[in-house]
Amino acid sequence: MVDTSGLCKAHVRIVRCALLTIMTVSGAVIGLRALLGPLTFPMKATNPVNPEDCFALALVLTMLVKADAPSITNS
Amino acid sequence: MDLVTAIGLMALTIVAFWRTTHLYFLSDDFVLLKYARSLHGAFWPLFTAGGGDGFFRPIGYISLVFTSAWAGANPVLWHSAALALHITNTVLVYMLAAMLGRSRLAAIFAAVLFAIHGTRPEAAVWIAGRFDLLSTFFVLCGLLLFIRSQNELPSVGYVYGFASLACMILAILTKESAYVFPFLLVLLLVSDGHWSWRRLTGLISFHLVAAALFAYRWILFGGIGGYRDVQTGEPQALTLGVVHTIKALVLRTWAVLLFPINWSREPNKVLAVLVVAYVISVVCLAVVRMDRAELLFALGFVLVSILPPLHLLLIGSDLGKSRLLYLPSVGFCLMLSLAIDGLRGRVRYVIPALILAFHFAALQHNLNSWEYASEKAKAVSAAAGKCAGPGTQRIVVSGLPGVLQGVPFFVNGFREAVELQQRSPGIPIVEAIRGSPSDWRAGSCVLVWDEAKDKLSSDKAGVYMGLRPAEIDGRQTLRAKTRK
Repeated sequence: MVDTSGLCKAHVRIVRCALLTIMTVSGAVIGLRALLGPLTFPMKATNPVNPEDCFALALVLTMLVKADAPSITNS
Repeated sequence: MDLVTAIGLMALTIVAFWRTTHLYFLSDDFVLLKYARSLHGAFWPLFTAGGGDGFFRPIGYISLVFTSAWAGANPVLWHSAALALHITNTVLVYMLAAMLGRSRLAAIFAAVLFAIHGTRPEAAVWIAGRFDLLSTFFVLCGLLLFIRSQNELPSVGYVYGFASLACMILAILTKESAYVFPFLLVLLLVSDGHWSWRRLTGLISFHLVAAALFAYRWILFGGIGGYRDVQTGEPQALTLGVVHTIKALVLRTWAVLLFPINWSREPNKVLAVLVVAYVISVVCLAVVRMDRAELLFALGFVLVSILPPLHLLLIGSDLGKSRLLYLPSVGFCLMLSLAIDGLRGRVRYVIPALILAFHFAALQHNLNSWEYASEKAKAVSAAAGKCAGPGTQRIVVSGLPGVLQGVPFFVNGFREAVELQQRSPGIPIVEAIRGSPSDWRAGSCVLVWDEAKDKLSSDKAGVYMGLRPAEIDGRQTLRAKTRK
């Protein structure tokens, strides 16, 4: 779990933006793979296992960071 | 729990899985079918000896015997029984979500997602998935009864507590993954935040009983049991590496729960468009504010319940072994339903609809592979059955794949499949070999798997499917002459 109690609000925002960027990029690769078939350019993606992993991990972390947010606002 | 919701969930699940009732048996199904028919009501040995496969699942096997008694070898009835159990679990997930404080919309969403999640085929379609279905049924019943026991007066609460304990015992005796039950109760109480002496003593009794069952299992197997490493002979559960553990816990489990697509078959355009809509919907859900304790319970549910099969959980792009995520997916559904409860306005309906549409399409896409493998398994069994004439002493099948498009095909069960076709154990020797058949004895029937066409047919050496013993002898002579 991500303990954000020691982080300031700006740091949390940066982490959240980074995670959302990862989700957007990896989500785009998965979407393109599904729409266009196996990709060879700009990256090779036959079975998009790695983008799926990145997207899933980023989602869980984003949810944890977001769920932690109220306590930071209060502090 | 209102009747309309239950009927609605049932109808939706039947619509999603209707085509699966007509599928044939696959791989381990044949072995289990034969085993269930051979027990003849002798249940006691199931409780006093560990299975030869390294598993101790007496209740699971008894359920197979009862199904076998009325379903015989009819695949439609077997699949219908599995579907009925899956529907029951779906309704139980709805009740659990509602008891945990979800809104009606979110509870229905959790139940529907559980019903039509793309990883369902291996648990709900494969007969060998019975252990997961039944074990999850008892775990869900146990959780609901435990929650109820906490909300009642002590005099009535103890009754629910004992019923929950009984469910835990049945779940553990159905499949070993249910050993996590006491830890799920800890999670439940931690997320609730209210501790009392009564709750603590209740928890201790669950842990003690689970530990006693584990000790009994240890005595039966002389160790932890389960699958063994082919090379070292060590139990696989004890050979976990750090990288493997992290990858399974942190990456693959979540990835497969989020994107349950069998990539060994190309997705159609409808599914492809829904993937894009789904990705956008999930990104929207990620920024929803949620209650931390409830989120940790849902995440903890997934992480705790994947611990027993962790050594098997590096699930690939073909979703093989995804039945192991049947119980953990309850936590995943609760997690997304929590996020749904945080949505406001019109998106509260649009996002859940898009997510469910994606999972429905992914399920249908994955079921195509099951339908395909099922047809092929039926054709293989029929060809082998036809091949076994009165004079046949031996059937040899070369190159039969264990997995076809991610679906268990003939990892096990070829001999049993032939016997089922023949309605009797008539052929003395049935062999599935890897390379080209080299042993050409009279009375043999040789079948060769054509990888390009996914069927039994002729190979380059001129070996033909379904040759009678006399024909094989003739061909042998012909080949010998040609060589000369």
